[in-house]
Amino acid sequence: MSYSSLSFFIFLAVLTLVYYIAPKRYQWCVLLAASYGFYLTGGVPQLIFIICSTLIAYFAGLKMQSIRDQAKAEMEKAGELTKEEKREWKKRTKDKVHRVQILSVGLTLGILIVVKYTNFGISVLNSVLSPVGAQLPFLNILVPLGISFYSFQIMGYLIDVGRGKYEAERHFGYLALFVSFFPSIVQGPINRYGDIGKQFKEEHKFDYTTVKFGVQLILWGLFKKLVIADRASIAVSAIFNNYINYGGAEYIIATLGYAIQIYADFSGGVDVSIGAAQMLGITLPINFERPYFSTSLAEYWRRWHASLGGWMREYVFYPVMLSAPVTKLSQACRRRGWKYLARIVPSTITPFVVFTLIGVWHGASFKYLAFGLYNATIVAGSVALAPVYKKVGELLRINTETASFKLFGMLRTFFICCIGKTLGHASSLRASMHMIKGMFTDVNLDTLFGLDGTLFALGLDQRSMFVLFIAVLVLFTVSCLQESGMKMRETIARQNLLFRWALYIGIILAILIFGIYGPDFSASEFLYQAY
Amino acid sequence: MNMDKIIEILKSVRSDVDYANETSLVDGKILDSFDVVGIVSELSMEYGVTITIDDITPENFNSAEAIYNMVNRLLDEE
Repeated sequence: MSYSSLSFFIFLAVLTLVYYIAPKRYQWCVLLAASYGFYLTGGVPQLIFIICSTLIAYFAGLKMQSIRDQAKAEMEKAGELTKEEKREWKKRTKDKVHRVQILSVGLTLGILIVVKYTNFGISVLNSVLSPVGAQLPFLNILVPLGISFYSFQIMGYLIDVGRGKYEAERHFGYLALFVSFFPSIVQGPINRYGDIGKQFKEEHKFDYTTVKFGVQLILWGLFKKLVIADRASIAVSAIFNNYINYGGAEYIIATLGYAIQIYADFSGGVDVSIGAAQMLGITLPINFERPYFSTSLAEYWRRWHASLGGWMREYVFYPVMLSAPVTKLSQACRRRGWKYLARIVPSTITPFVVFTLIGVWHGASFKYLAFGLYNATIVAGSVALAPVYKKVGELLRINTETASFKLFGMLRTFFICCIGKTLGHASSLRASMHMIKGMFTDVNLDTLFGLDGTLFALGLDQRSMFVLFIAVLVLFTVSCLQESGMKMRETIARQNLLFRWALYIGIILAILIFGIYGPDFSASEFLYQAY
Repeated sequence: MNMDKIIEILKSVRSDVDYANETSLVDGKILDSFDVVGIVSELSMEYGVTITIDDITPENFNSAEAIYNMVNRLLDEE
């Protein structure tokens, strides 16, 4: 069931009604039944996958908790202990917990890897074996909906319980709801149990403003998805799918179009997710904070798909940075008096681990690996070269606090992002290289500025292009207002009734009239649904 | 160890932050993850404490005072 289908909205409306009518202490049961029902529309085997993963998380969490509780009880029983004995006790407990943690995280990750990457492994093996004429058959493996998202949520939970950040959930139902909560199962945000778990246990009374804000966010998300993303995708796909027939100007148009499309698609989808959860009184984390306003690539990754970035920071970045090999390397540099190297070694090694994982998370292909390495090189490079930038800035007397310099930073970051997006979206690494090269060497200015009509021969006529332009302008204006600190929904709520309803009707009409629908009046799939 | 020394260490990582008054260094997104790791590295070298992943929480890094208290606690434990 797609988040932009009519059946989803009927499902959501009925669920909201039942949820607020149901006795408050059973609200979580309604949500769990709805989440499993939603998941069941993808088929029974998918549901079996998610239940198995939840069982792993449940029993591993309980085991870690019992090791910790038992150790605490034994320590109390033992009475006064010396510092040494306490440290030894703690270490023993930590080691035991660690074993359970490694096993359970390994199992969860193992399922994800087998399901998502087996066929990629076979294709790599086949290319190695092709000189001798041997070929392995591809396997028909079921990839459960949202497996990357819920597996990451489970791993986060297991690591946090292992670290003692919070206690393990003793109620299977609450944990099952956390793993399967339908608004975020398809494309995130990636939730943390510490933030969302307690919300499932609270009673939620019907609040008109909360539900209204949820509906407004859904409408805004649909506007981004149906009017902007799906419209832009027609022209973007025309070029990306037949890149060989086009030149550099079209590649620039396709890349800019794709940057708009993917943002509108993904952030629009997440708006629907967050809005749906808000209708039910559940607050999900913000996943997009206007990333194209970032002045550096590192900042962009804090604002784009922030829940994945946060997950990576917590469970990969810090552990790698503080790992024994990286710390030893840094200390060795310091002992030799290489202070600069000692400082940058951890900061330049870790982005390669993090972004390689982010790249591979996006899909099983070399192009995603290249996408990850490209981002890592730039983030690590900017850390390593920070003192050089500072020196150059001082020499040229550049004031980095000026609006013009910030604008330069935004444009530079947007350009870097666009190149990265081409790497990730082109059909292959070779195709992306061809396109990127073309953007710098083979640009027809008439085509680029729409003077020779090529722009209108990409599947979108003049009227359609105009609609897209206006819709993007609306998105840009709203983003600028939000960036200046304005809270849109609160501001709208303060306006006159007439204006508010004109706005609601306007956006609904825009979605209905200008939205791009397939033959059965259903929108195309969200891009991130595949991850 | 005193607070002035902690602030001096923090300034060596990021000189543009008002550590004396700021109480939301991590939650307010003033420090990013690279800064936090830089601070951890400097504190480890200066005081010989082992700051583990379990200690990297916003509560321990939101202010100079919180960082000071964390180092004190770790020194005491060791």
